[in-house]
Amino acid sequence: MTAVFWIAGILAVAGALGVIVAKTPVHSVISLVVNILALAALYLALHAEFLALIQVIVYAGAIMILFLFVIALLTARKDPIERTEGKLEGQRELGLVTAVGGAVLMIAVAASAGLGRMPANEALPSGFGSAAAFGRELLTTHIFSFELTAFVLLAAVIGVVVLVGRRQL
Amino acid sequence: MQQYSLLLPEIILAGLGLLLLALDLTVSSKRTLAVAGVIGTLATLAAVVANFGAPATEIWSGTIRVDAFAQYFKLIFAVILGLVFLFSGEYLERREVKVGEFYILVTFATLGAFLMASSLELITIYIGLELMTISSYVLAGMLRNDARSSEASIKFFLMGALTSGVILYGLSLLYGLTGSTHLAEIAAGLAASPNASLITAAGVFIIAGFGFKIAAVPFHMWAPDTYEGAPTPVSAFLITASEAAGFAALLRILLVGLAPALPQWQAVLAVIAFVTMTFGNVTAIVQTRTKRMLAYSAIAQAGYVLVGVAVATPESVSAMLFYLMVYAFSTIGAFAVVIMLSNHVPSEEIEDFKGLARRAPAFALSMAFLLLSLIGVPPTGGFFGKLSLYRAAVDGGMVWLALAMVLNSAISVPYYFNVIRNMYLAEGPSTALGARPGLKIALGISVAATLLLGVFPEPLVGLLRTLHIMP
Repeated sequence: MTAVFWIAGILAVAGALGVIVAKTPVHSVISLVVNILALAALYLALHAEFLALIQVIVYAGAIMILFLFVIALLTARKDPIERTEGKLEGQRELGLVTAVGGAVLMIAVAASAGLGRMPANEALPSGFGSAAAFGRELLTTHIFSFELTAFVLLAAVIGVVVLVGRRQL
Repeated sequence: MQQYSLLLPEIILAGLGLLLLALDLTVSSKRTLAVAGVIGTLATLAAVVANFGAPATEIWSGTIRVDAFAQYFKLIFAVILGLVFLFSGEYLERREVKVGEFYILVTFATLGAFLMASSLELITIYIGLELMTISSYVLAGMLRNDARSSEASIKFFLMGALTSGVILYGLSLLYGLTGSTHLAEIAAGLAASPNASLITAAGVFIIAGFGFKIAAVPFHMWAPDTYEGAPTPVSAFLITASEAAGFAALLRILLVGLAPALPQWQAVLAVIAFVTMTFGNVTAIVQTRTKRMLAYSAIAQAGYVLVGVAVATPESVSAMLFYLMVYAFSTIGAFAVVIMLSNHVPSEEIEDFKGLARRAPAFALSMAFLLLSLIGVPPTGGFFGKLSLYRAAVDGGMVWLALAMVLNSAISVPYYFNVIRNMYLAEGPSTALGARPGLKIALGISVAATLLLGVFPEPLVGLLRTLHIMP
C-alpha cells in the first residue's frame, strides 16, 4: 500500500503542477486527468471504492469531456492563450510564497497530528466506503439533504436560462 | 406526521418557489407574481410563528433541528423575503430584469437560508449554503445590459466557489477527526480525543470560509464590487438575509461543534471583528456612490455582529440576534429609499439625495431615521442593539472590543450624516418623486419595526432569553 501511495501521490502532484505549467489548454486538461486518476488510486488505497469509481466516471469522464468541448469551442488555434504577464504586479511571486507557506503549514499540522494515528481510521465500520454502505447512508440518514439537491439543481437550471438565454423580458 | 408539520415553513417556501415557476409561465402580469410571493411569505411566516412554542426537536435522522433559535432566524429571513417581494417590482421592470426568475431565485435562496439555520448537521448546512449562494450568484448577474452586474456575479461566483471549497475542507477535517457530521457528536468527539493541531486547522478553514460568506475583513474583497454591481434589491437581500444565514451557520458550528476548542478561536474572532468594523467604517467615509457606501457600511455592521460571536456568552448571542433583526429592518428600509430614488435617477450617486426632503419628504424622513438606527442613536432599534452588544462585550471581559465599537460608531457618523445633509441642507431638483404602494408599505414596515424595537425592546429581549443555541 505504501508503494501505491507514493506512486499515486507523486503522479497527483505532478499532474496538478502540469495543469498550471502547461502552455496549451489541452495539455492542462490532460494533466488534470492524470491528477484525477491518481487521486482515484489514492481513494482505492483508502478502501473508498465508491468514491474512486465516482471520481473516474464523473470527473475524469464527464467533466473533463466538458472541459475539452469548451476548449475546442473557444480556442481552435494552436498558439498559447496567455503570453502576457498578469495585470497584478508580483502576482506570481506572491502566489509562490502563499503556496509554499501553505504547504509548510499543512505538513507541520500533519506531522504534529501524527499521520496514520487518526481515531477515525481505527474505528471504521465494516464495508465503509463501499457502494452499498454509501447508498444506504445517502438514502436513509441523509435522504433529506439528498432531496434538497434537487432544488440546488433547479436553481442552477433557472440560472443558466436567465444568464445565457435570449435577451427579452 | 410530526416531521412534516415541523417542516411546514420549508415546505410552504419550496412550494411557493415552484408555484412562482408555474405562474411565471402562465400569467402575463408580473404584479400577480409579487402578490403571490407576498401571500406565500405570509403563510411561511405564520408557519414559523406557529412552530415557535414547540420543544426543540430533531427530525429526519437528526439532519433537521427545529428549535427557537432556528425559528428566530427563519423569522428574519421570511420578513426580508416579504419586503423584497414588496419593493422590487418597479426597479426590476425599469431595468429589464426577468421578473419571474428573480422572484423564483430569491425564494430558493431564502429556502437555502432557512436550512442553514435549521440544522446541526454539516451536510444539510452545506446544501442549504449552496442553494442560497448558487441562487445568489445568478441574482447578482441579472442586469444583463450592465457590465458591472456581470462583474459582480463573476466575482461573487469565483470567490464563492473557492470559499465553499475552503469550508468543505474544514468540515471534512471535523468529520475525519470525529467520524460524525452531527455537530453535537462532533463536540463530544473533540472533547474525548483532543487533537489540537488538526482542530486548529479545521477552525481556520471554517472561520476563513464563513468569513468570506459574511464579508469579514480580510475576506471581504468581493463584497463592495458585488453589492455595488448587483441589482439593488439583490444587494439588499445579500447584505441582510445572506449575511444573517452565514452568521446562523457560523454560530452553530463554532458554539456547538467547536465548543471544546473555544479559547483557541475567540481571540482570532475578536481581532477579525475589530478589523472588520474599523476597515468598513473608514473606507465608507470616502465613497461617493450610494450602494458602495452601503456595502462598506454592511462590512462595518458585520464587524459589530461578529463581536457577539467573539464574546461567545449567552448574553452576547442574544444581543447579536437582536441586532441582526434590527439591522435587517434598518438596511432593507434604507434600500427601499435607494430603490425609489434610483427608479427616477439611475446614477446611484450620494449626490442624488440632494433636496430629497422637498421632493419626497416622507421618504427623506424615513431614510434619516433608518440611518440614525444604523449609527445607533436613540430611540431607534439600532441604539438598543448596539447597547446590548456593548454590555455583553464588557460583561464577557472584552472591554477593548466594546470601546472599539463605540469609537467605530463615532467614525460612522460622517458618512451616514452626509446622506442626511444632502437630503435636508443641499439644493437639488424640485420635481416630486413617488413610488408604488408596495415599496411604501415595505418602507413603512421597516421604519415601524425599527422604531418599535427601539422603544419597546422588552418583548423581543424576553423571547431571546429563552433561546438556546446549544442542544
